[in-house]
Amino acid sequence: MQPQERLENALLRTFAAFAEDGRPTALFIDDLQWADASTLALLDAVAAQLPANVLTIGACRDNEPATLRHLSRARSANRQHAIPFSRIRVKPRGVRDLGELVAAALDEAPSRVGRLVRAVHVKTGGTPFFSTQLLRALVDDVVLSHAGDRAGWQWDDTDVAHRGYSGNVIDLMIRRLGRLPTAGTELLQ
Amino acid sequence: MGIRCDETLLGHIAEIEPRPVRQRLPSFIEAGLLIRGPRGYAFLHDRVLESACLLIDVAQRPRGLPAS
Repeated sequence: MQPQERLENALLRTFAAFAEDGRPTALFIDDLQWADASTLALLDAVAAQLPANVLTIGACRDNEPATLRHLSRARSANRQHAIPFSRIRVKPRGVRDLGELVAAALDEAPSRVGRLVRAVHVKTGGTPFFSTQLLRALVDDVVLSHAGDRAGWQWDDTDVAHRGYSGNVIDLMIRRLGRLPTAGTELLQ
Repeated sequence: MGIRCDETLLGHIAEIEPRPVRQRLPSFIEAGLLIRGPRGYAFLHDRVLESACLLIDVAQRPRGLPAS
């Protein structure tokens, strides 16, 4: 048996060891767009001989054609093994859902943050990570500020709308990283 | 290094002691970009990691070129 195959078998046995009737195990693999060849091979092994009582969830960006092709190949290979396989498209949040997220993040009533939510939605299209980062950028730039327990969060609608943050999350992150000490940024790199 | 890194290992790579590692990163944790775990640090999201990597490229570009 090849080392890779031995490793896959050991992992499959480990997953099986945690799962039994009435006590299922969920296995969640995030950021599959970064998966290397051996991780993709492990996924194939999981699809081909998934232990009983194990639910496997993989998350992947939908703009990564190579990984998606691999996953759909795994899916067709899996048909003979009759393991239920479904694909869930995670859509960006609508204004109402984003409102709940923003209200929870700021600890405010959704009705109070309605206009802020709409402005954030216009800029982020409802992507949760982008939206929370945008809120933080607004706080960094003191466009959104907390005026004590009674007054809560304050902002100026026009100011929020006219902030020229670019329309993508990477540029916004670079901007936020750029505000922090260089010694730390160098360490992250 | 990937999305998470042990504190000691991070110190080794950067050739500094764990204490200065700890001193350099709190503002990143406060800014919601890093998470501190029991053994080290992790980027909050892979987009943060991606942006940090992109910053290297921008910094290494010859001066005079637009850093777009």
